[in-house]
Amino acid sequence: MTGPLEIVGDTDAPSCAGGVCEIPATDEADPADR
Amino acid sequence: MNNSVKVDIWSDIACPWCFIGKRRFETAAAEFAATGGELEVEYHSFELAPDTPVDFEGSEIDFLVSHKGMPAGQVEQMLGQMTQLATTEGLSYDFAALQHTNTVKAHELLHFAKAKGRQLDMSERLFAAYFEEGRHVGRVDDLADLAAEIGLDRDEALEALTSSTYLPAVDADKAQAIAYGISGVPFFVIDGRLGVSGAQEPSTFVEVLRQAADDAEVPA
Repeated sequence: MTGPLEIVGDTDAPSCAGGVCEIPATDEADPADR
Repeated sequence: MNNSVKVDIWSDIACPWCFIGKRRFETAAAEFAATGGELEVEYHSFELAPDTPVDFEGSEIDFLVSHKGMPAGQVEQMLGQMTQLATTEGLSYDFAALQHTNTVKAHELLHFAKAKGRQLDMSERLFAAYFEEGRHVGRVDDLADLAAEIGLDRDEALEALTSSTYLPAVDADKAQAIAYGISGVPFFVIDGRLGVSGAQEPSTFVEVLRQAADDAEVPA
């Protein structure tokens, strides 16, 4: 049905799996840092 | 010149990173379009917690503590950080008002909306209803109300949800996710061959979209 995907982009980008979501470290969560 | 790219997005309504990722992708899509790119976007179903009851009694904190075994203090801190992150994307998450529920019927509604050519509007309405407005997105009557709010026929939506007309389409999406090896969301599949996991920064999405468009121009 599908071929293998070539994974691209930032492999550390946050996501949710199994009902639990990754949260970046607090300093990364600071809007002033974005 | 072929600048047309197809993007298939696996996500769950109950996924805070999916709404944030949606905003970041939309920012990238606007930039891509501004440089002549064309996008076709389609949402697909992924259930993060299919064991969740429709009428879960308790808060989001209660759910994560009771179902995932996380300490309450850690959950409170996590949701606070997520709320802060959401504001940077212009989103007003309200976890205190959020009504945790099973999302399979919401996914069926997304497929109903797709059949009517309104899937993107339905997706936006469902995310906002769940994360910002404290609306229930698990009961068929509440979902039919949301369908009507974007101009879809309420009775037709209610009939589709009650009869589970689009449940096979939801199951097909879930099977496709397994075939791709998708274990977390949001997950973006570009032209059926590039996989992008998570709520990437807009600049990363733009790079990937341009890469896909450039690849499509290479003669066979």
